Amino acid sequence: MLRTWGARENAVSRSVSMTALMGLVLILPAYAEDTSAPVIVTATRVPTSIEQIGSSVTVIDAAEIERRQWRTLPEALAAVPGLHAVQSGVTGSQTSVFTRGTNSNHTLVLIDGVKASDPSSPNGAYDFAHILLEDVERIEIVRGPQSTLYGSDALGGVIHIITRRGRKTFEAAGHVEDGSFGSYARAAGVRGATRFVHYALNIAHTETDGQSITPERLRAGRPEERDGYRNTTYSGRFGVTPAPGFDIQLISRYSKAHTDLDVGDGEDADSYGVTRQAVNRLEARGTFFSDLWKPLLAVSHTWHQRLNFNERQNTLGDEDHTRHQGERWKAEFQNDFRFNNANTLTVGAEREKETMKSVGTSVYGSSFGDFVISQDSNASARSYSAYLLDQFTPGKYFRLSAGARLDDHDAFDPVTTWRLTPSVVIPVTATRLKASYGTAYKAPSLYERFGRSPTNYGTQFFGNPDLLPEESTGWETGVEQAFWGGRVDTGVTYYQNRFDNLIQTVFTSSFDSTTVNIKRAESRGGEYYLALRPFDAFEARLDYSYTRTRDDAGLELLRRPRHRGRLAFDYRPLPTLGLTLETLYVGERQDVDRVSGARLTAVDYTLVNLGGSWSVSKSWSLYARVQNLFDREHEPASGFQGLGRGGFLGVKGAL
Amino acid sequence: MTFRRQRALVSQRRLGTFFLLSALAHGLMLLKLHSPAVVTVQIPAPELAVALAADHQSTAAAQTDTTAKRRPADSVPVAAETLQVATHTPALSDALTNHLHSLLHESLSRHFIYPPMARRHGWEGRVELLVRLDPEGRLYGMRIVQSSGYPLLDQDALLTLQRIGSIPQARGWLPEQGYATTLPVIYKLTEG
Repeated sequence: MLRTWGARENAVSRSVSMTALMGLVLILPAYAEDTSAPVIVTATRVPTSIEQIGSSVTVIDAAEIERRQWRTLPEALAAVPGLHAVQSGVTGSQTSVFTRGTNSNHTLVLIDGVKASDPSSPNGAYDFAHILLEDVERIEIVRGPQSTLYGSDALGGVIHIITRRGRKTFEAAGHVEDGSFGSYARAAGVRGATRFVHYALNIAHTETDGQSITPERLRAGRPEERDGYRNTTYSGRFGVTPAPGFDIQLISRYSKAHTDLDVGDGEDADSYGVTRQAVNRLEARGTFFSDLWKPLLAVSHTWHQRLNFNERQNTLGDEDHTRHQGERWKAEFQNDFRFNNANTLTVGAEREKETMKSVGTSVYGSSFGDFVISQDSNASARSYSAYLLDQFTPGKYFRLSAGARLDDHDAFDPVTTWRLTPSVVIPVTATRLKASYGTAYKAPSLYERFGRSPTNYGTQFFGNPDLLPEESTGWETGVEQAFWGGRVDTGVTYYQNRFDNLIQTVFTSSFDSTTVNIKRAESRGGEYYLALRPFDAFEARLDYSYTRTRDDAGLELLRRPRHRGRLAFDYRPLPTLGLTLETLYVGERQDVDRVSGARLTAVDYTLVNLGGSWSVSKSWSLYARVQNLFDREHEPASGFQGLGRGGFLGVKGAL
Repeated sequence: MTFRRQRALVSQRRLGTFFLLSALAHGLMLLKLHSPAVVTVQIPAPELAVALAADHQSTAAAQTDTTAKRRPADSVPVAAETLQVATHTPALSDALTNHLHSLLHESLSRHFIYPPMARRHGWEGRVELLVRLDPEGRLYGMRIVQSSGYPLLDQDALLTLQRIGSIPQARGWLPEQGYATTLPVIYKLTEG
């Protein structure tokens, strides 16, 4: 094989007298006569979709997930600048994400292009806790208002989870892991492809006894009770490629999670929730007329079921038997027209239908008697959308995307959103200048519009069918610069967002409650990163996010730290040995007391995670990690404590 | 409740898993000790020795042999400079050159990491560098002979080679005049 690049000795040189050239030997030659076998440096391409032009993007790939040993989505999102993931307790507990100071229901989550949120969620927020990362190929996080391409919910940004797809090389992989808190995890998957078929199948199970969600100060004499979690996720992708440039695939994902809860103001022995999620998508993609026309036709379906159980412990105890179910159907047709290298036009249309149903009762005991809330909501809504985007590259360096979208919901006037993102990439100096300006909106949730929860006192919560969508306008600008052959990579971004028509629950004079569009807010901040690679086996990365928020009363929004930082080191002392160290800092932030509901300033905290992996052979590797190395007590949400120190050990095998 | 019963089983299961892991780890370590994979791939020594001997014994034969393999003139960029290199690096046998190439390839390629910014922007290209080795295996006087069009990639390739410093494994194989070669480094992004 190497012979093809073999020696190419020059006979001419031999015929020239050696002595005549003696003087020239010291002169450094400009070209060597023989050429070695090329060194090929590869990495997987990061596909740049249209929304990424001019925006701030973070991509977490499978390699990083593996290196850092992240098992659930909240762990991975903790590393993303501009985002603040708050897990109200331990593994599996309710997790909210605040992107760039926006509310927890202002981040759109997609799984393989399918809108993942639960239509029965009261405010439309997504619970990030139940996504296991075993089958994830990459997570793309795009910050800034993105409704023009994605419609409702994308005010703060979009988190897109892309699962693995079968490739030409057959792969079978699995791992077993055990650790602190009675945790164990198992996962197995196969992937492969032939010329006409591709497939990927993955099963993952994780289980932990956990730790009490309620911190000691709130236990008030009650015994400590561990809050455990278990989750089983099945996922698959099956596709056929009948002809080159034509692909039909079915993407399916189902997970069932059991979460122990501590509801109310303290320890609760047997309260738990069950969450079932199913995501399905059937899509067909084509490429016609040598890349000129790329259509995508897809039908997707999301189904969620959340059950809450809490048996009554004593006469003053709480009781809960509720069931919430949400379903969404969506049909999409998108077309990319690539007129020439400088101009790509995207035209698309969508149709969506959401339904929700909530039933059951929650009883809150007190010395004044029981307070009973019943769930009695059954609603649905439809919408139609059309959008147009153009990606324009007029010169060598300049890129521009411009787009507009119209969403027609059955309950309110059509919403128009638009977006403009100029960007300049200068390869000569390794510089990227970016900017974006755009609008976004969030349709009120079904519960906010049509929900009904009566109480035993004759009062009730009733939805407001006349609600308007929440709206935002935002812009950002930033620069990224690489030095020293990319060994120093740094960037800074500044952004501002303004929110209008924010929905809030208010009480009427009859002690009923309903929702109205009365709040306004703004957020501004910056993101800074610095990545250093002084030598090839060592890498350091610093991320810092600054966030300021303010509502119309001049108060800071809850659970949004002003300062947030992360320092990560990767060291590979041997080709088979990798070590990681990660430090996360979360600054002071406003929160509310879990018992009294009074506003407070929550203390800052720093967590340190340590990890290592050793490749024993080509197909086997051992890994270990310590989370929260210094056993720092912390409450990501006030009154809900995060995990203490924990050690984990696992073995991974692959074919 | 099934969950509670499962918890009682957890400790037993954990012990079982520990033994399983331990057995697996020991087995793998033993396997690793006898694994042929640790032996670096080398050109069989006898073949190389024969090739070297042939090279020393009959220069004339080698000369005619190499004349036949001469590269077309148009692919030689600067004739005068070519001449200098040729004297600097005397003709080596094919076997030796191949061996040096594979040594170079083996010891250099694992040091390269795709620059993140280039990856983000989809920058790809081929950089050609002049690589020189002194008889001790030290890399020196490297420079770019053909740019990829992206200064970032060019710099990355050059800096990576400079960082490596030397290839000790090459020591015994290098002629006393040292050795020079053109090393292409191809930065390529793969799909998915």
